[in-house]
Amino acid sequence: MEDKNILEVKNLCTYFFTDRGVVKAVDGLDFDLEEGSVLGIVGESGSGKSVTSLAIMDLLRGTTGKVVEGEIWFQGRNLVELSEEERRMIRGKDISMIFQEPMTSLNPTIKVGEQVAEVIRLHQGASKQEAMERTIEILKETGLPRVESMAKEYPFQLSGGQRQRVMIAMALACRPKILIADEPTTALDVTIQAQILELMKELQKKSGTSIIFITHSLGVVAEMCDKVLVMYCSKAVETGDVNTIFLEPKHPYTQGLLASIPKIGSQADRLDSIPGNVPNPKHMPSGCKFAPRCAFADERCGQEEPPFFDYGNGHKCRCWLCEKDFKG
Amino acid sequence: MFFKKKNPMVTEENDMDTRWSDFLRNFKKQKTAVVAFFVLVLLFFIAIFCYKIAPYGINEYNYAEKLQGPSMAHLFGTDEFGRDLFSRVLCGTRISLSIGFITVTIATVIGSVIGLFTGYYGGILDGITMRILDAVYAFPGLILAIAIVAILGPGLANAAIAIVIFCIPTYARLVRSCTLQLKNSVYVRAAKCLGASDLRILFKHILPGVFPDVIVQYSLSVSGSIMTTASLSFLGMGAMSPTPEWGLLLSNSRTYFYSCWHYAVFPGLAIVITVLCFNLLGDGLRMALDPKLNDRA
Repeated sequence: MEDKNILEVKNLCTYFFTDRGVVKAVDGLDFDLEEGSVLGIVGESGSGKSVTSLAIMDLLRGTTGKVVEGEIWFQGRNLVELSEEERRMIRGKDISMIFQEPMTSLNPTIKVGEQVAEVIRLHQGASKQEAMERTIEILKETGLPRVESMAKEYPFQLSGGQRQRVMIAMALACRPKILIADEPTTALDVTIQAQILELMKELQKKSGTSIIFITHSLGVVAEMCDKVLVMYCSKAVETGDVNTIFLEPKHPYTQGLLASIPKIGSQADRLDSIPGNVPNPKHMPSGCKFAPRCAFADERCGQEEPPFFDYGNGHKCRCWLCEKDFKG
Repeated sequence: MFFKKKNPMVTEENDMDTRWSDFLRNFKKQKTAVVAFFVLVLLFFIAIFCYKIAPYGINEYNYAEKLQGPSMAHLFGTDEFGRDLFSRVLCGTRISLSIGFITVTIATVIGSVIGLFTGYYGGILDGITMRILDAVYAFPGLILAIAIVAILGPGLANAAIAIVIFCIPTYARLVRSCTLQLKNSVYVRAAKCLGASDLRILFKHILPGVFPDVIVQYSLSVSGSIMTTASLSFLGMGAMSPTPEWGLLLSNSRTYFYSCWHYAVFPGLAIVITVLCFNLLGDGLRMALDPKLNDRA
């Protein structure tokens, strides 16, 4: 099983060194991405999902953030140790990314087709004409209408959904091994969301690209992902495959997240929600980070941080409640 | 505005280059700027063909007709050596416009490159460069130009160098601030994600975004540059006699100011019209290029 992992993240620690102190955005994160699978990373805002993706892409340079510890293994190489130039060659070619805001992620001053062609020329050294032909081909694959003329348009002439399709085309132009999608559908309306997800699924099946899908929508996770990683306060609290997580969530936080999805047909007046807020990263509670909001927390939760309890089959949970499952 | 979508039925031809046509449409709304533009076009032709149009040679002395008022023979009158002022003012156009454009173009290129790199990379380099430029910026333009000319010696070429030096900080600052803004934009991050190199990001993704601001500043700076050239010449630090430079003409006219009004008025008018047109054009360009100002209009 091990050798099928295309990306292995081990003990990733990404800290932001601000004037007011160190903010641990990602603190000891481990996960594996299996080849050809889709991993969903779920969590509230500020739980470190996006920072994780930036660390993998090496986009933290120039910010106060830094990967202080950990390894990111990709194709037998530890990305953390590579030079900036080597990282750049991997970006876009082997690992690429789609962003949350399709409105702003295309350069407004360059024609759509040229932007896609740029990636192809950059990584595959194709001539201008070849690149343009490839571009048209790829844009067609994303289901855009009247591709030939659209390639000559500027981004502002496209709708949000169309722009996200162009982004997907750009990201997949070089047939990357891994695609990181950072909330790619959040800014789109629901019907377009479904279309974009459908498209990504289809392209993923066709090209065998592995996807890291970052989102806070569990509905999207259920539809898209094979495995799920639930993050809370810069740490993974539970991981497992989709069915396990949705059917037998062990961590109270996961259970809370699942309970807060509105259900059709239920007569509840109020939505279930998890009480309280994400703690300030500068004043993290000692012990379990979720303890202050957890209905099951006892004294030990406030003092000692729980380790991962391994249920086997990739299902792990970081909660003291799981301990009894192993004692008994 | 974001959802501005063209009718999918439009054909390819009229769908292309919309940025350009948008700009043209917005620019045409600025009536004064359009007029200024055409006046400047006229001035350009004068600058190119001045020696052909001029009725007299610029150094054609005629002591019999010195200091005459405007007449059919001499439209702008004559100077103390009997030279035809109309011809001299006409030929001064070439000097003023070329100095204006050459200096500002060089300053724009140097300033933009400095601004792009300092803004993008930041750090110590940025700090040091910007403090030096701030120091340059702290001097009033003309005073600095005088100081530089005092070091390099008077002459049109040195005046031009002085103007380039004091124009650079304006552009470096302008481009730097735009770069700072754009380098954090999602599309620059997206370009990075796709493996674009720093140089590519700078010149292909950031520079075009900076362009509108630079163009506006360019037009305004050309007028400033023409003014400064004229000022330096007026003060005896720029063009040397017998060059028909407008500032120099003004300077020479001082002696005859009370007896010959035309000697001062025509070169002065030439400066005023040129500078005014560049300023009006600059304002018009700003209105046409800034979508925020447009939508309200």
